[in-house]
Amino acid sequence: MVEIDPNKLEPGRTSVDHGLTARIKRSDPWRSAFRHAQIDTPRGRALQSFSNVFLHVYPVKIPKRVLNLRYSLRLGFIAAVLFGILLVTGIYLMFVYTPSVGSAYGDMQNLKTGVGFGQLIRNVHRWSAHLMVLVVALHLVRVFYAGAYKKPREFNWVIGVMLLLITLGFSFTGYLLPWDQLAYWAVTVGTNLVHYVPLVGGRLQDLLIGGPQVGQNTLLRFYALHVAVLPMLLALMLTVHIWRVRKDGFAVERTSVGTFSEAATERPAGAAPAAESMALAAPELYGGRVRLLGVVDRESITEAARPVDDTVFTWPHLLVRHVVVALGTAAVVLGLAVLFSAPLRGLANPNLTPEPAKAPWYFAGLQELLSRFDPLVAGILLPGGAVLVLLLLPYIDRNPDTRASHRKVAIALFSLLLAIAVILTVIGTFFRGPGWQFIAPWTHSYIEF
Amino acid sequence: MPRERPRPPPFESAWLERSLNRYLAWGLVFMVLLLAGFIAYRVREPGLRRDATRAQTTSYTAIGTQIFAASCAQCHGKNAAGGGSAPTLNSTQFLKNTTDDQIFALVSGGVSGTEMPAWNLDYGGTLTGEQVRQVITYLRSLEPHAPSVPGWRQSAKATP
Repeated sequence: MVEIDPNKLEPGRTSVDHGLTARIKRSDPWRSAFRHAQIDTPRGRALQSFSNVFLHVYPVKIPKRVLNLRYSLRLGFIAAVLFGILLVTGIYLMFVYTPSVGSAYGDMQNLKTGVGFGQLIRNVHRWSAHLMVLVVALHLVRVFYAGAYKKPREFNWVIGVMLLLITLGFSFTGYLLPWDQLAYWAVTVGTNLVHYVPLVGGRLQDLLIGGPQVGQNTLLRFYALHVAVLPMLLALMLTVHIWRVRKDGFAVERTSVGTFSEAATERPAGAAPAAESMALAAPELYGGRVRLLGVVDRESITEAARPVDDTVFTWPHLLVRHVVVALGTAAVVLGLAVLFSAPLRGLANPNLTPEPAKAPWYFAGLQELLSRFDPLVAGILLPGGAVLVLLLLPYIDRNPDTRASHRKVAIALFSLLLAIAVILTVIGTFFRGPGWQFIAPWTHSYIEF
Repeated sequence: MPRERPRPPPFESAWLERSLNRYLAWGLVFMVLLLAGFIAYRVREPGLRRDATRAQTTSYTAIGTQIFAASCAQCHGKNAAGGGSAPTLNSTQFLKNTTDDQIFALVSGGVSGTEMPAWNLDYGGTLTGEQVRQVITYLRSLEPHAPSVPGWRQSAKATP
């Protein structure tokens, strides 16, 4: 443990405090846990980040514009918060749920009638899940319009698209677990799509649902995916995603050419420290992409070289904003959960197809497409192609410029596809009734969230 | 005794401080909203649960009636009124002295030495645990109007 004399860090301090809190804070157990006092000086604020494993996720200082809500709308952060809420509420639900055809539906009813806060927790889980799909998608859209997938962040975009797919997988597997008519038929409609995959479609569908139709095997498989496989996968990918946000340049400056420059804010202006000269000496080894993130306290080298310091300390400025945004997210989710209950229709019945049998809303666009085109085209080729293009986007769009006026084609194409996807989803969700007939949503709604 | 601690010179601009305070105020608002949400739900919960229980009892009774008619009435008589080869289940003697858990065990595992088989899927039967509970809910719904049948254990066929 590094011994830090608070009097040295806080020059004005002379007297020794004899109060109870002060004594506790001087005691060995306290100092072994918290390492040092909280001191409100520039060095003290930096120390908060250096000495805390959680704050270590952030850079010690960030450009001021990152504090602005409009900078990122905090969408990625909100998605992570929703994932946290889903983890906590999901564990609560695991305590009272058995993935068995015989008891799953009864467990859902039990949440309503017998478990303290049971229905509320289920509502929170459901609303967070819907919102997470929405927020992750919006995050992708924002990152596209900002051009933030361009060099050097290409691979983080790829990971981000994978995270979107995992999120959809989460939501879809979770959809089945209540084992009511809504769940049963949404998943039946969804898994029937897999059948249209060329060559292996039949086998793939069989692997997924474990039988000729959705049943006990499907429930157990989806449950295992939902509570074990996907959470681990998402946690792993999210770790890489966040780590790369920093390593690929956190809040990279736009230079005059408008590209996301390699000259990240983390790089000192004048000095050429060791790591960089290494990169300069052997560019083929480092690809000229070595930065000094977290290696050297930047301020110590660059204070003289930097003409205007536009950075602020992460602690407390960004941290407080993040905590408040997290609280706001939780408040919104709780508000929705108190006002609107998660639906529970009748027990799943394979012999009684509800009209209409709708997929979850984020697949409603796909279902709409299916009603118009051949299943192979609408169910596999179009969505599969869209996902592939999204995954490879940074390698297809080689234009390094991030200014909107210099990437008109990319923005126009993306906006067009986005508009089509949104319109199809809205039509499939709100404007379709029995027999997939067009229906005005204000006459009768056939959608339940 | 007030502590003497001279304030360090300001090292951040005033607007930053103000903006931080604004966020902290919002944080407080959100916390109050969260608390209010929990309290609002807690207040409504007993009513919601009562409604849900009532709805569940209604639907269970309906389903239980069907299951009883299909699987049980053959021996226990139409509407559990006896007359078959098995005990009369709508009698006060049976319903008053048997708990739900006991009925669940009897129906699930069957009664050895009699014609009563095990019904629960877990014991090789055809009903899920939920369906057994639905039958029990149906039997319980008969309790308010249950007749007194002293010889409820003896079935019509059993008596020679």
